[in-house]
Parts: sequence; C-alpha cells; structure tokens
Amino acid sequence: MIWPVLARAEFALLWRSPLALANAVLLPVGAGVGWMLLARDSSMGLNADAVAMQVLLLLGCTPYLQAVTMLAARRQERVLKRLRESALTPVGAWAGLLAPLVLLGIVQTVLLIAVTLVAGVDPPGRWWPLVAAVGLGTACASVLAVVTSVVTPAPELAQLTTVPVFLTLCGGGLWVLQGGQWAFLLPGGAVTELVRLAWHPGGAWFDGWRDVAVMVTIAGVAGLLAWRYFRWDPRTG
Amino acid sequence: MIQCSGTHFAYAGHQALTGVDLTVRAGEIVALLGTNGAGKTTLVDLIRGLLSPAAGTVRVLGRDPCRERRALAPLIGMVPQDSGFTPGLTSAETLRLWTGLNGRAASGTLAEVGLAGRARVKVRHLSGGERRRLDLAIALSGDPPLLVLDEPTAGLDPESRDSAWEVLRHRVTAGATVLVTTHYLEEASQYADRFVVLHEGRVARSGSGDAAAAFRAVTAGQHAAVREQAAVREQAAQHVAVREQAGQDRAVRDQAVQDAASKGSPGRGGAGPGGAGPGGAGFRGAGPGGAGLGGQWAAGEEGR
Repeated sequence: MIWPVLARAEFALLWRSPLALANAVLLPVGAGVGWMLLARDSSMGLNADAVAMQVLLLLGCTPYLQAVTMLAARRQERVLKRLRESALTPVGAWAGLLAPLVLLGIVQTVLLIAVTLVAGVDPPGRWWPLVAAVGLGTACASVLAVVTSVVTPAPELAQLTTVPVFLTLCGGGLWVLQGGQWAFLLPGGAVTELVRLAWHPGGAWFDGWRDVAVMVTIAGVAGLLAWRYFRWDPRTG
Repeated sequence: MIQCSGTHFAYAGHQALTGVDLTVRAGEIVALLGTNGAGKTTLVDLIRGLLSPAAGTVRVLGRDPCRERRALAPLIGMVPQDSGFTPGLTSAETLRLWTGLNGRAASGTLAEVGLAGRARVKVRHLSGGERRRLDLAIALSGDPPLLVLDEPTAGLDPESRDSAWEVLRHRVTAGATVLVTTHYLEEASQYADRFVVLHEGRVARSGSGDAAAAFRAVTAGQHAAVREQAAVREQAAQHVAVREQAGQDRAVRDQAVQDAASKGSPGRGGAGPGGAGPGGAGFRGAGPGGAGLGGQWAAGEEGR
C-alpha cells in the first residue's frame, strides 16, 4: 500500500496552510455551533434533529466542498496527471488525496456531537445508527466530491459547482424534518433518519438498514461515475 | 531494455506514429530527436505505458508497459514533460512523495542535481530550472535501472545542462540505461551513445556522432516546403494589396465623377457658375486621370 505516502503529504499541506485549515475547521465548526444555538433558542429545541443538521453541515463542508476544491487545485497543478502516471491505482490516489479531509470531517463531527451532549442533549439510545450516519455520510460525501470535481475546472469554481449537492444534502435533512415520505432516498435524508433513529430507537427493524442501503447505493453509483468520468488532466480548452 | 516494433499510434485521426522501430540496449544513452509534433512524447508515453499502441508491440524490461505499468513503475525513473508538483511542499518532501509513489526509496539525489541547499525550500519558491532539476532528482532516486526522460534539460542554463548530462553519464557507467528526448542537438551529439531522429511519426535517421547534421538533413525537405509556402503566401498578399489599392482608386474616381456631375449637370446638381468646367469633363472619362484610373481598376478586376 503506497497511498499513505500521499495522505501524509496532503496532511502536511493542510496543516501548514492557515487559510485551508481555517476553512476546513472554523467554517464548519462555526456553522455547526451556530445551528446548535439556533436550535436551542427556537421551537425545534436541542435534540436529535439539531444534531442531524449539524452532521449534514459538516459533511457538506469538509469531506465534500473542501474535497472538491482540493481535487480541482491538484488537477490544475497537474498533480493528478502525475499521480495517474505513478504506481498508484485510481482508488489509491483518491484515498491518499481525500484521507486527511475524511479524517478531519469525522473528528469535527465527533467533537460537535460531544459538545452537543455536554450542552444538554441526552446520549443516543443506540450508537450504531449514529456511527453509520457519520461513516456512510462521509463516504457518500467523499465519493460525490470526486464526481463533482469532474465538472469543476478550477478550485475557485467549486463554490458554484458544489451548490446542487450541498443543497441536496441539507435539503434532504430538512425534508425529513418536514415529514417527507421519500426523503430517505436522498443522502441528506438517509443521514438524518439514521441520526434520529439513534436517539429514538423503535419502529420497524429495517428502518435503519433501508437508509444504510440507500447510502451504499448512492456511494456505489457515484463511485462508478467517478471511475468512468474522472479527469486526471487539466482542462486545456 | 526497450523494444518497439512496428509501433503505430493515432490521436483522433492524426497519425502520430507510423511503424516505429526502436531498440535501446542496456547501458547506453539514446537521444530521441525530432521537431515539435514529430511523435517523441507519444513514443515516450507508449514506453511508459500511458498509451497503448494501435498496432505493433512495445516491450520494456521484457514486459508490456501498458498492462504492467504499476509493476514497472519502481524500475523506471521518469521525467515527464509537465512537472506536476504541489507548490506547498518542500523539495525534500516532493522527492520523498514521488519516489515513494513509484515504489522506490528516496535517496540523496538532491545533492546529485545540485539542490542540496534547496531541500527545505518550497517548490513554489524554486525557479523553473530548479524544478526541472528536482524532476531529475526524483527520476534518479532509488537507482532505477532504466531512465526515460522527456526533455529533462529544457529550461536549464548551459552549465546546469552540462551537469545534468554528466550525472546521466555517471549513472550509465554505474549500469543504468537512458532514453532521453531533447531539442539540444549538440548535447545529443556530445553525450548520447546513439541518436534516433523521429520525423512525422517515423524513424527518419538513427546512428551515432553528429546528431545535428542528421537532424538538419531530415528537416531540410521540410524547410524547403515551408519556404515554398511562404513564397506563395507572399504572392497572395501582393495580389490582395493590388486589389485593395484598385478599390481605393475606384472610390476616388467615383467620388470625382459624382462631384463633376453635381457641378456640371444643371438638372442634377444645380446650375452653378462652374458647373460645366473642364475639370468635370476630364474626370468623366476623357481626361487622362479618368482613363488611367479606369485602366488600373480593369487590371484589378482581372486580377481577381
């Protein structure tokens, strides 16, 4: 396995770039804490729904938006072109590039959930749906980032090209909160249902597994698209 | 080490390589020469396994580079045409990264290419020549038995180019084999054991010694064709200039005719005192100026 060599270099880059680090840490954490305060002071209350929206915000920011920006930058620097010519497999290259942001996203989520628990939310009744929500949500966001990078010719355009998936992520969650019957078919909806399930066990046995299946399917389809259409060379025209 | 037989490759209808035969034996430096678009980089990419030949075979170290590219990666030190470095990493980190990603252990090649003092400098602060030398350091790192270098001395100052060739010579003495593309013909003559001149996708010449003479002999026909085309273009431009001049002359003549008509014809331009003056008559066609203009325009028309 040689992809950890790449992951180590990406960690170093993330660590030594104050702007990237601030973007990757302060932005999502600030948004998450902001949402928590908003939920506490509104009719929603500080509960599983607030946690779900925090998780979605973090997924949308770190393993998705930041990852799309990073992939577009590496393509522009012709690093992706050189990676394709190395001994790495495509999956190995994606793993090495995305590992720091995936890890950062998971750490942020765990921290935010811990803060939420300290702030007064009861611990979840079942942990596996929460772990599945964070793990599979991160996987989905990362693979969708690889696909979105295909249509992102430059890092500065990531702010535009990520809007549809970002809105779908957050919108899916809000749709679940509004009682949408089919919201679970969206990645954001499935994550929200799993988080809710963690705090409110019960219902049919297949409820959580249905959401898991949806996220695995989304990640699989996105992975196939990435395998087929991913661009290693910068756009020249 | 490298064996290409009857290799063909085409990009979207453009035949980049047509039946190329190339053999690189162990322990030699072979310089691949050719004009821009001759097919050098395409051949290098086939040898690196990045492209698959449309016909013919390519074997590198006895293997198919296209099918076994990842297995061959540790054995081939490469300098690609585009560097592809992350600007935020230092020279030493970049060396470790790309050597590691090719399955080799990083060795002290920064010193070998004169970058030991720049090891902690970020790539974004390196000059173009230093980046090229870093590329060479990565290719040399881990002592691969085969070096495939696409214009490794491009952008280097003369002294650095000589140093780079000396490093390659030293590596060959130690047992490595080198295939290198270059536009510096004198260097190819001086340092390479053999040269191969690619022209329009074919091997036009190969041998040893004066690479520059062989290259010029191959491209002489092309230069003649270019000169001929330039002459044709110049002639065409002259015709256009003549037509433009004729067009301007006709406009002047028409304006003069119009002026004369307005002065001379009471029905059209009013019966002014000078209306039927001699100038007007002359411009109408009887005068020398009018006739001259008309004649030139006719010539221009024929010329069209």
